[in-house]
Amino acid sequence: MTTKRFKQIANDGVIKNNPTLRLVLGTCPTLALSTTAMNGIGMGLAVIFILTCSNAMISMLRKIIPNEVRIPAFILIIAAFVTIVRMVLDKYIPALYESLGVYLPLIVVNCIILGRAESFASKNAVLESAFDGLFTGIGFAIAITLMGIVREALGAGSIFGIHVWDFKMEFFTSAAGAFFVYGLFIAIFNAIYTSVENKQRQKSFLLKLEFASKKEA
Amino acid sequence: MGTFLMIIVMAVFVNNFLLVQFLGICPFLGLSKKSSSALGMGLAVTVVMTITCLITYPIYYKILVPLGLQYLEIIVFIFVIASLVQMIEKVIKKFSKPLYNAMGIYLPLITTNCAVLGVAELVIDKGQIMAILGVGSMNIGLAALYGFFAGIGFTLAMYIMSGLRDKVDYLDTSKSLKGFPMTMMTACFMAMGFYVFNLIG
Amino acid sequence: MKVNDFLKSKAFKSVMVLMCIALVAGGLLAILSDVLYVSDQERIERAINTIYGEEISFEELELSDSDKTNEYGSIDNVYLLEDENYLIKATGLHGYKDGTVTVWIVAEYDKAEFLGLKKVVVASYEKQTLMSSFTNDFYKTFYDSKEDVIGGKYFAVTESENNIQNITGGASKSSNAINNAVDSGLYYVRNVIASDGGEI
Repeated sequence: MTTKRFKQIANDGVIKNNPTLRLVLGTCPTLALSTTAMNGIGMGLAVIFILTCSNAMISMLRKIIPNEVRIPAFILIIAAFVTIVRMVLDKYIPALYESLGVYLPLIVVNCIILGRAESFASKNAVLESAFDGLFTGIGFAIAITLMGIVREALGAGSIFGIHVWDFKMEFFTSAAGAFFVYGLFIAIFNAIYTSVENKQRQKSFLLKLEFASKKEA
Repeated sequence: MGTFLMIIVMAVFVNNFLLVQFLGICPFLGLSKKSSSALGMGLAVTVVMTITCLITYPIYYKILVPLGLQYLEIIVFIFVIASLVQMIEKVIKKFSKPLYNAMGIYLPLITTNCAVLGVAELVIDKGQIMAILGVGSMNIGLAALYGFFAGIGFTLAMYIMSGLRDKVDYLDTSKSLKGFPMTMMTACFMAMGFYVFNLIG
Repeated sequence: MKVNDFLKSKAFKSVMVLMCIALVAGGLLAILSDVLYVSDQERIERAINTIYGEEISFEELELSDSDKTNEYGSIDNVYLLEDENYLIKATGLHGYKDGTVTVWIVAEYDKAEFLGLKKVVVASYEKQTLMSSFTNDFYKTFYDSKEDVIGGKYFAVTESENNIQNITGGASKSSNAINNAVDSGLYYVRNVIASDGGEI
């Protein structure tokens, strides 16, 4: 795997195809667990682990699994990893296990993981798939943690449990606040993304013009 | 009778699957533009949720727990849901072509719907479900009942959203707010509306 | 050949692949569930740490048959904590629909002297539907009435000379069960711990 390909996968996962802010996939845990920064990181790390492992495993088995049963097979493999994470958390980090609640088993049907399995892992080599899983997970983790920081700071006046200021608007920790903050994040991220993309396009277009005119001259 | 009404209110409104518990959001955002498709999806999900609870609740408590196999819960549940959806699809296709044409396409999507696996996981957590419903004990009947009314709540939210989205699409918003962000804002207002029901609970 | 065709067919291959994945996954999970097993002992430790708010070592005391039941309900477990306090899990009878409530209570001791109740937390309940109506005020009564508790009174829903009244309006039967659960613990404190050498 070349460095160029590596950079492309990294960039895709975290920015261009950010599952939370660009593809708007896996919204259920994003809305539910961005209430605090700690919950966000916890869910983010769980998803990174499961996504990387399942992508790698599915890529390993991609030539064996018949096309007709690929979705059930993928779900089975993902379910196995989710169960493993569940058992590990219950044993070693029970506090995180409690706060993830019902959303931990729901990672099995999370559109992000199935989506990457279907569109990437089933068609690419193991190492690339693993990294794709890793960086897509990182993209998700960054998005949900940032949302968690914002919602916790504005809704409870703290960040990671550390009291920051006395301003507190319960709206932000409520369900309605979840939708609100998520909507804003999508809008802002996409606005920045399109403007950066436009600038890059302009730049490359100007470079092409320059090159063409030099050629003619 | 009072408790029965309370259960319905809790399942449909106070703990609304979409607007309070965030379960089943993907179709909520993606599919809810037309009222007819919203209703179709909602009802399909409700049926699957009810039957799922009827099957997974006894499987968990009569088979998995006595054998000490609780760790197989996720795998078994998802297997049940996937098979159930396949079966329902075949049954509908065979018995009612028009119904199949109307909602058959949504059925495969329901397998990966958080709401279905979510409700199955919720009803086996005795502490949590008893607190949500405000009951003193739990049984398969209540599980199926909750599955049904949680589905109704889901359908209700989907239906309202489809009506609102039609109107919202006509609004002239800035480019970056178009699409998902506007949908999120609409959902935000709906959630605020449903928050009122907390005052009853 | 029909059998050969079937063995080569997609259907068979699909089923085999799925079964293999399921078996491997199931086997792996079975092994891991043993390795990562959270024993009942560990769960008790966690419950105690959560109730008590801090990690503390404890010793579970053995209960004789007569210790286990009394007129208010039953005693499920008793733990002697490192700091001399007792953590008691007790169940109270006569709740709504004849159901029960199980509580954790911490009986505070200093140099073998009973100082009153330090914590009351509901662990579980049967058939009670209004458990969410109980606010901090209700539980506060258990801690505030220290003199009466040391003096030998029990908690009840009715007012009387011998009782400390504690009731939440609209949930009298559940109040009764919670009171009974606490009283069950107090009965143990006054009759078992006291007679074993502790003062009361």
